[in-house]
Amino acid sequence: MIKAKDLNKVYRTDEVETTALNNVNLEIKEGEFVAIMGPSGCGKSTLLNILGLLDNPSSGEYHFLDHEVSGYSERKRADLRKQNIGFVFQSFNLIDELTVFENVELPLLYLSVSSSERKERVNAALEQMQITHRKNHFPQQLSGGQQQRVAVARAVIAKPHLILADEPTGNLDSTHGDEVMKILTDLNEAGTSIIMVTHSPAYAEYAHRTINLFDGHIVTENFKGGFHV
Amino acid sequence: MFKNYLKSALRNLLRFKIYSVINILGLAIGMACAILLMLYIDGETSYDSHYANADRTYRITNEITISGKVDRAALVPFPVAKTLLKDFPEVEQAGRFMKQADRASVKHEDQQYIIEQSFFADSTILDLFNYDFVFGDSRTALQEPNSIVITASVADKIFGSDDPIGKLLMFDNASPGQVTGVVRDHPDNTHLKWNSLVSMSTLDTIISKRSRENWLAVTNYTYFRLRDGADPDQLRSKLPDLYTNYIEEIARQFNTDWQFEIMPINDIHLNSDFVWEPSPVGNVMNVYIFLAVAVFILLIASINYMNLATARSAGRAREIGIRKVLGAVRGQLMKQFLLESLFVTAVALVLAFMLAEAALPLFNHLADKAYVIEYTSDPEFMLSVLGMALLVGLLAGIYPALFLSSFRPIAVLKGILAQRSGGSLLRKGLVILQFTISIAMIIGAIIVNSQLNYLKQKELGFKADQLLVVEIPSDTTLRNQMDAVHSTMRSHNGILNTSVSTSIPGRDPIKQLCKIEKDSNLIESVMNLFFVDYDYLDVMGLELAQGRNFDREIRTDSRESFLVNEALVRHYGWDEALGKRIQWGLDVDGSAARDGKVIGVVKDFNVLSLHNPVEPLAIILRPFPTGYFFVRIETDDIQAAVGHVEDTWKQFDQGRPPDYFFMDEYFNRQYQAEEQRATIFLSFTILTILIACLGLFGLSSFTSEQRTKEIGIRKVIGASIGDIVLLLSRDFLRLVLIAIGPAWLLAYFYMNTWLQNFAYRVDVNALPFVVAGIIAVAIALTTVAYQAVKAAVANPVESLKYE
Repeated sequence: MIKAKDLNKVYRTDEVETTALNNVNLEIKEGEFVAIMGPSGCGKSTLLNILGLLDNPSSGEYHFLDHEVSGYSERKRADLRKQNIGFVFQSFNLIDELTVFENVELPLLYLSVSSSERKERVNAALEQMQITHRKNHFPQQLSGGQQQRVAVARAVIAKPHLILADEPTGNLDSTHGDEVMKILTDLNEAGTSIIMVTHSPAYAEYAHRTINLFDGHIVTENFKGGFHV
Repeated sequence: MFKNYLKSALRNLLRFKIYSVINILGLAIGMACAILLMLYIDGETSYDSHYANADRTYRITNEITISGKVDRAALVPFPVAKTLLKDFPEVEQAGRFMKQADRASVKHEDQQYIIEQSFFADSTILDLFNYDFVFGDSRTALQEPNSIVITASVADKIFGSDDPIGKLLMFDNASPGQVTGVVRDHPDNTHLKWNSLVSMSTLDTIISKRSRENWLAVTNYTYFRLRDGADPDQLRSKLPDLYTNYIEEIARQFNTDWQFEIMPINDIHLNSDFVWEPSPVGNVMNVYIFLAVAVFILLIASINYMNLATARSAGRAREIGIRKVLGAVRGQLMKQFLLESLFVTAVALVLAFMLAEAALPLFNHLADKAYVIEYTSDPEFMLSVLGMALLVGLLAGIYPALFLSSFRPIAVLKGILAQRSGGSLLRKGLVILQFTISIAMIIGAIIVNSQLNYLKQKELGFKADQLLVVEIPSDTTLRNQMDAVHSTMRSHNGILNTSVSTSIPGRDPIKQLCKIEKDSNLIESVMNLFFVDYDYLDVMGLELAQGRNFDREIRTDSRESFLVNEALVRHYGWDEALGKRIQWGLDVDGSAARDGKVIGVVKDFNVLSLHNPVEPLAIILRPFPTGYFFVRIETDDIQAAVGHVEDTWKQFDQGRPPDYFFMDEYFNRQYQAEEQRATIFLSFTILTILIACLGLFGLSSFTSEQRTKEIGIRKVIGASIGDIVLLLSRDFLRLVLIAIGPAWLLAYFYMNTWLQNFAYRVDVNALPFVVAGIIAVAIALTTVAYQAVKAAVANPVESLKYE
């Protein structure tokens, strides 16, 4: 599903040039659950942004679902993204002015799904995340765990092939963190690929494979039960 | 999706109430102003378009050039109407009005009434203008001599609820007329506001046939209708025929050149530059000025929206980022933000209508109009208001839409944008623009008001105060006893002197063809003439620069003496005025009714409003002129003097009370419309500044909010409240100061152009410019200071705790 070759990302300001990614090669198959770990500033988020089609690499190839997308325009990336990728963020990133229902519904609006189908699918997703009882509330009225469940519901509503989760448990206590990890695992078992950035080795354990980044390089990849250099 | 955008917009509005109130209020006030100004503009530009076939109805006028001097008159000779119909197949119908009296006095069953604006009119006039007849038949109403058509309000005043048809009315002249028709009152927006029409055929019994066929006397307002599809330009090209066929032969000996012009009736109000218009006309420049004011106000309100939307962009950044991550493309986001600004504008528009309705009575009072906001019956106006709102919504929204939709999702989600608020340079530019406009308008308002004050205070060359004027009815019996009237009037010790003259300052004087000496030749010239009696100079307070006044002891004065003003002396380049020759009352055979010499030069005085320079004027003695009776009063008890005038008048005029007014009020009435416009302009200037300050208030509250942490740190380090207020105010103050320069230039240029309208004008000095700058700075400082002080006195611990 994902094939990245010699990915580089360089940020330039007037005086400073920062290399965020340095010749990253990566392949992720349909249905995989991959965790990305590494210290702050190692390039985890940059990699996730490129994999999530939010950003283009400075050089290198990136194949997503058999499209070579490294040179895609924002518009084409947006098209591919909204149909195939769901996002979960550390800080939830729900829109404060929209209710739970409306937040979850939003991706379907951008996909021009009919109103009746939207209602059905949103209700199903809320049911699945056990948050139906709060569907008319606004994000500020919810606990962190509830907000993240809403964010996950929003990420899965368009039935994406891939979910990108950027430290999804980072702002949650362990009970709520465990809950979210359980949901992600369930989704993965149902066939959705997941790439998750995390600082927690414990949660990385849920993944099939962990990629360790350091200074923009992939330093190690460890599969469950084995080590791979 | 639309619903989603609306919800998002609405909830954003509710969440940030202060900004929403500023935005909506600013836009609402701006649009309410625009609606009122549009009523004014609509009123001014819609003159005379309500007549059926207005697009084919024209007025013919002429321009006479004599010895190089051009006179443009709204009037043409008697025979023009008939000739148009006879000679030009394009003309379908033609008719004439002729002024009977500005204030005609009529009698009905021994009761005396004044009818303002009475005209003689051809029967065809009723076909040309589709007057709405309440009583009578428009086809026959003006056919017979002594037929009278009046307006409903006049009918109501004289006849009450009685059927007026067939009732008798006695005008000044002897023969009684019969009311044959009553028309609904005229709308405000017509240049032809007569209150009574007397059939033109009545004139046959009053004026000689020779006068009625005279091609040299311009006396008639003449209107005509083109046939459907006829080309007005084709008619224009044939108009010179009128001159060559009918006038040239007689006119040649007077060395005159005539040009006829036609003008669609709905152009007259704004584009006439003719003398002797039937009622005061407007000026297209005022339409442009108020249009500019409307545009400025809307621009300033839109800028508020732009500035607040972009300043607060950090608050919206996360939403934009999320929407982009979820697949929104830029176009969709732009659409969202444009819809949002349109939504805000729509809410503001509803409020604007309410504000406009609330302000309408006051506006009508200022403008002396009776405008009504027509919601259903004037779709054109409503559409233009909606179009205005749509434009405002788009203008206000386009920049925020472009700006906000350009955010890169990664950056905003990382919170990079939250630190700063984009577009601050543009925002500053826009604030400068707002204050440039505001300051320029303040300067404008100051200069306009000082000019109008100047007009009222300037020495006119005659004494306009304590000068009472009675209009002399043409039928009055008092004319035969003038000497007795004068002496009885003067017997009161508060009355110094009395006089009669045909002309009065504040009205176009009589213009007639004369011959006048120039370089030892007699040349033809159209001359402004006053016919006066012996006491005129004294009563008016006119001074002689040279020579002597008319003298009762010198018999020849009534036959061959002229007074002239200094402007005439200058105009003809006379080194020595006394003794120069003038001929007046020229006949086709070359003879002159009066052939004489200049005996004195009167110091210049203003006959017309101070828009006009003093024109050459000749004053002719006519021992018993008609027109106006002037009473020079000098007493503390004016009431008693006026009472004496009233009593005396009644005594000599069969108990009829005098129709009198005071000269200074009459003269200053010429500036009434200008004063109204100045007040309107001043009001809108204040509103403009208010809107600009609303925006400044919003921006400053945003800035102090944004700099809370900085303020906290500075206070912890030791900054005083004064330091903080200065810190926060300085930036805005700088913008206002920068705006002063361009505002000065703008105002200087435009106000000089405006002042060109006046022959007499104030000197533009630095004062209004400095005052306007100080006012703007003071207002801006007050606005900003509130937020600055609020931020400065806050406990720093509160602001730092968040970190």
